[in-house]
Amino acid sequence: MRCEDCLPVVEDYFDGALEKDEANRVGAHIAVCAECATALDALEAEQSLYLRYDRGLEVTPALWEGVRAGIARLEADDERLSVQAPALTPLAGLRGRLAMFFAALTLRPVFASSLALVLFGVVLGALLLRSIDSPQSESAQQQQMIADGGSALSTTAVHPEPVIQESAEIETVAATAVETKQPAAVTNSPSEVAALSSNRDSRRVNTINASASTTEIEEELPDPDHLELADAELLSFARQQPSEFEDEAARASRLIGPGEREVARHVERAQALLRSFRNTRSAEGVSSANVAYERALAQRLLRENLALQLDAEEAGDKTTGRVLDAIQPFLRDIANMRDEPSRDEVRSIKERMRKTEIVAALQVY
Amino acid sequence: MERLAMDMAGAEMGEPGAHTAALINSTAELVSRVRAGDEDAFRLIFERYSRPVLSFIFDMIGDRAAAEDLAQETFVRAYKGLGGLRDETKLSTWLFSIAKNCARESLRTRGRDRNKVEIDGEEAFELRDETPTPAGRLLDKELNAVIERALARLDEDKRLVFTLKVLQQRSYEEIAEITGHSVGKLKTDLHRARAEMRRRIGPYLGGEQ
Repeated sequence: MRCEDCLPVVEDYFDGALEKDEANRVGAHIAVCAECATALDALEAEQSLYLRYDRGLEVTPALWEGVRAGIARLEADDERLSVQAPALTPLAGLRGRLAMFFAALTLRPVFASSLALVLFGVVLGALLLRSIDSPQSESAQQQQMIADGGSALSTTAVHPEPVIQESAEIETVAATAVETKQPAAVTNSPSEVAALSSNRDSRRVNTINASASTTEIEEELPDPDHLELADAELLSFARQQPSEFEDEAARASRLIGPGEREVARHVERAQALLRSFRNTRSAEGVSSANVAYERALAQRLLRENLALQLDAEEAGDKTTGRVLDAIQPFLRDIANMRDEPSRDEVRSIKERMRKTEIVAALQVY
Repeated sequence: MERLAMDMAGAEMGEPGAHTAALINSTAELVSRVRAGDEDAFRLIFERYSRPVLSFIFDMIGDRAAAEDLAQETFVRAYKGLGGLRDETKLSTWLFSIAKNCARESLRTRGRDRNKVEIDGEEAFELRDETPTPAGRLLDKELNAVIERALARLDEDKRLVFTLKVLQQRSYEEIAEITGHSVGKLKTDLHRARAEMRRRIGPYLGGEQ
C-alpha cells in the first residue's frame, strides 16, 4: 500500500469503519510509514482532547423529579382512558365488554337501540330506493297501463293498504265520476296522473274508495295478474307503506342527534380503517409493508377525531370523549408511519390493537 | 466509562463482549420490567443513560437549562413509547433518536442558527492570558469553552455526526439509525466537521500535540 492510498482512509481506519482486509493493509502500512503514522497520531491526539471535554453538566435529582412529573402527567391523561378490566367470565356478554372498555358504569341502551334502528332504517331505505323507481317513472308506468286500457279494477281488488299512485288515480276517477255521473274511464291526462301520484294520503283514498263504490264507479286498477314480474314487484313495493319506514327512521333519528350520528359514522370509518390495517400483509420476502392507503385515511380521520373530541369536550359528553380518545393513538401512529414501514413497525401497532381489542370494541359501539 | 461505551457500541453492532453481553441482557430485562409497570426499572434506565443523553443534547443546542428540559422530555417520551420499542438491545440508539428529535425541535422553535454566531463570538477563542501556561498546555476550562464554541459554529448535520461519533463514540451504523442518514453522508460530514474543528481549535492545540 502506498501513502496516497492510505492517507485518504486513515480517518476511517481510526474510526474502525474499514473492512477487515483493508484495515489490515492500512495497519501494516502505518507500521512502516512515518507520514501515515503521524496522521494517525494526530487523530488520536485530537480524540484524547475531545474526551477531556467537560461540559460541566450534572445529572441532579431535580432532573429525575422532572421526568417523574412528566410521567405523572402522562398517567393522569391516560387514566381517563384506562379501564380496570375485571376478569371476564365466559358468560360476559356484549354489554359487559362495552362497559369495561369505556369504563362506563351504565350503558345507554336507548342510544344503542336508537343506533341500531337508524342503521336498520338506513339499510332498508337504501334497498327501497334501489328497488323502487322514481315517482315520475312510476307514474309513467301507470300512464302506460292506463293508456293500454288495462283490466278493469274492482274495489275488491284494492289492496287493504292501497298503492299511493293507485289511490291518486282512484281519487281522480271518483272525482270525475262524481262530476259527470258516468262510468269514468281511467284515461286521465298524464299530467294529472303525475300530479296525483305525488299525493300520499292513503286514508283519504280509502274514503274516496268507499264513496266511489257507492257511486258505482267502475274503477280501474292494474290487475296484478296481468303485470310483468318486474311490474308486480314494483307494485308490491309500492303497496307497502313507505311512510311506515320513513316514520321508523324518523323516530330513530329523533332519538339521537345529528352530532351523535356524526360520531357513529366516524367510529364506523375508524373501525373499518383499523380492520383494514390489521389485515395488511407484507409480500413474502419483502421487509416492508405498504400501508399508504391506510396512512392517508388515518390522517383524515385523525383530523376528524380531533374535531369531534373538541365537540364532545364542549358538550360534556365523556363517553364519546373516551371513545375518541381510545381511537386517537392508533390513528396517530398509522398517520405518522413512513411510506414503507418495516414489518416490525406494523406488527407493533397490530399487537397493540390486539391487546386492546379496539376493533371489537368499536364494533360494539 | 469509555470502555463501557465502546463495549456497548460493539454490542449493538452484534459483537458483544463478555461485559456487554451481561449489559445487553440487563437492558432487555429492564425494558421488560418497565413494560410490566416497574418504575424502579425505568429509574435504572434513566440513571444509565441520562448523562450521555444530557451531554448529547447540550452539544446540539448549547443551552444548559434547555438541555435539561429536553433531556427530561426525552425520557418522558421514552417512557410513553417503550411499548413500541422493537429491539430491547437497541435501547440507547432509540433514546438518542428521541433526544435528537427533541434537540432538533428545540432548534427549530428557537429559530437560532448556530452557524451565524456573531463576530464578537470569535473573542472567546482568544486566551484571556496570552502568556502560555507551563508546558504550553491549555487549562481544561478554557479548552472546554473553545470546544463548546467551535461546536456551535458547525452546521447542524456536522455537529450531529461529530457529537455522536467523536464525543459519544457511537458506531456509524448506530448513527445512521439515529439520524436516518446514510453511512456515506455521515463519513463525509464527519471528515468536514473534523477539519473545521481542527481549524478552529488547532492553534490552541500546539502544546497538546
